[in-house]
Amino acid sequence: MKIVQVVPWLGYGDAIGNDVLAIDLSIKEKKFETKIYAEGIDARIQKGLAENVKNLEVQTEDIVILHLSAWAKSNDLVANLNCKKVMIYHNITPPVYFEYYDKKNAQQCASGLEQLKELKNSFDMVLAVSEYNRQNLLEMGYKCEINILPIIIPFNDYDKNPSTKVLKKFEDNYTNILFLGRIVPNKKHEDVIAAFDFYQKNYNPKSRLFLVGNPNGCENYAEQLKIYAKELGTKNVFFTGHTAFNEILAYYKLADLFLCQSEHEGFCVPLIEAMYFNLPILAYSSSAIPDTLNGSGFITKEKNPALTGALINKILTDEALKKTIIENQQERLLDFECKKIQSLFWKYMEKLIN
Amino acid sequence: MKEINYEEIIRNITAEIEAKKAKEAKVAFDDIKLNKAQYNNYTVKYDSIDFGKGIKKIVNKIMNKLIKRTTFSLTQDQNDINHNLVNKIEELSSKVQYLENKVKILEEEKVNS
Repeated sequence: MKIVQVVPWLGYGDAIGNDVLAIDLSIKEKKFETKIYAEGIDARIQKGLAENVKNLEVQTEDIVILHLSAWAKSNDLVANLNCKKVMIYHNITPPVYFEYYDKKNAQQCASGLEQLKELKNSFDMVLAVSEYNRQNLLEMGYKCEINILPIIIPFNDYDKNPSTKVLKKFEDNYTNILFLGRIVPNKKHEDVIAAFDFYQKNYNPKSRLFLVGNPNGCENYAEQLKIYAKELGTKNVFFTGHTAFNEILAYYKLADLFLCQSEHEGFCVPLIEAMYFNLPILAYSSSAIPDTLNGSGFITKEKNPALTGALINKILTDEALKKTIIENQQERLLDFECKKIQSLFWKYMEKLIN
Repeated sequence: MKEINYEEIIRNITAEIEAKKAKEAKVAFDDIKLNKAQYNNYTVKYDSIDFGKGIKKIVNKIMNKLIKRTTFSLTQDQNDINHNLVNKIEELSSKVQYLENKVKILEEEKVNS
């Protein structure tokens, strides 16, 4: 019996890619025969670790784990296999967010959601990375067993050396606000900018905003964001573009607060990263964000730049509040320890193995 | 977890904002209009999709020169080399993209005038 994983695109350093690699390692530790299959493989992935999904061959007793986050040919391919099938659902962004900026992507998201609905009777078990994702599937009519399995995050990587170039560039007495995530419309960078603008103009002119993330595919959205910041007259808004891992670490080290105004997240790994770096989190309550924070951080239910901007100041100047937020986050972070998630994974897998 | 009285904090902050007569943003994000060149993504994607038609040749030339000119330490592993290349290509291609957009804007202005 073997346990294999299928992922449409095996990326290097992204949340799904890391999850796939961590599960691969865990399967190998349990001495099961395993392999990763993908339609596309990032050139930076170690050679031999994954192969083309066309080469996938299974026996009826095998278990195939499909990572689903978009429309893909391999989703149908796995659904039609004659073996035990598990889907790890990472969520698909509602197409409405892309309709103006990236019609092709909007179409892909719409097709992905259609495909997801069609596959509702194809799996023996689904592992949703958050309760929000589980609810999405239930609404689509999924009747199989759905369990929650958070993304496995390789915390050891965060102890690597941060970029000294970035650290040196910004090491001063400015207050740094950080948001990290691809520059895509569902993440609502404009609301981050608006809240930061209020904070900077009313409380702290010596402040800067780091928007760390790649705008690939949504350069027009990034362009609009830059014009917006300019027209608001907001100073020190930095769009980093494609960022190397050691640079990401440096931005986390430099930051004083993590500000998230995203309106759609299937899990939101940067929230966990912010917890790891002891950054107080101020986030808007949407999609999977309340699940991931689970009572930690500071959540707002209202999109109001003035309120959010003033809350940035409150959290950064009220030491007792900041301390409580960070302590609560540290407690929540324990739930995401690799070993805990891995043992949860095997608890679910054993149901299929037996 | 220690309890935080969110409601009280938000109530106090709201009162503080009103008392402060704080400066609020007067520009709405949705009111910002992109011109044609800004709206059309002249994207250059190393990993996956397509290069914009007009800049494909330029980018390929740059890539070829870059690969010839770039030297790496033998101690660096393949991942680092690839990553450096991606960074450099993206850096260069964003410059090409900027120039391409500039040309488009100038062309539009010329037509309009």
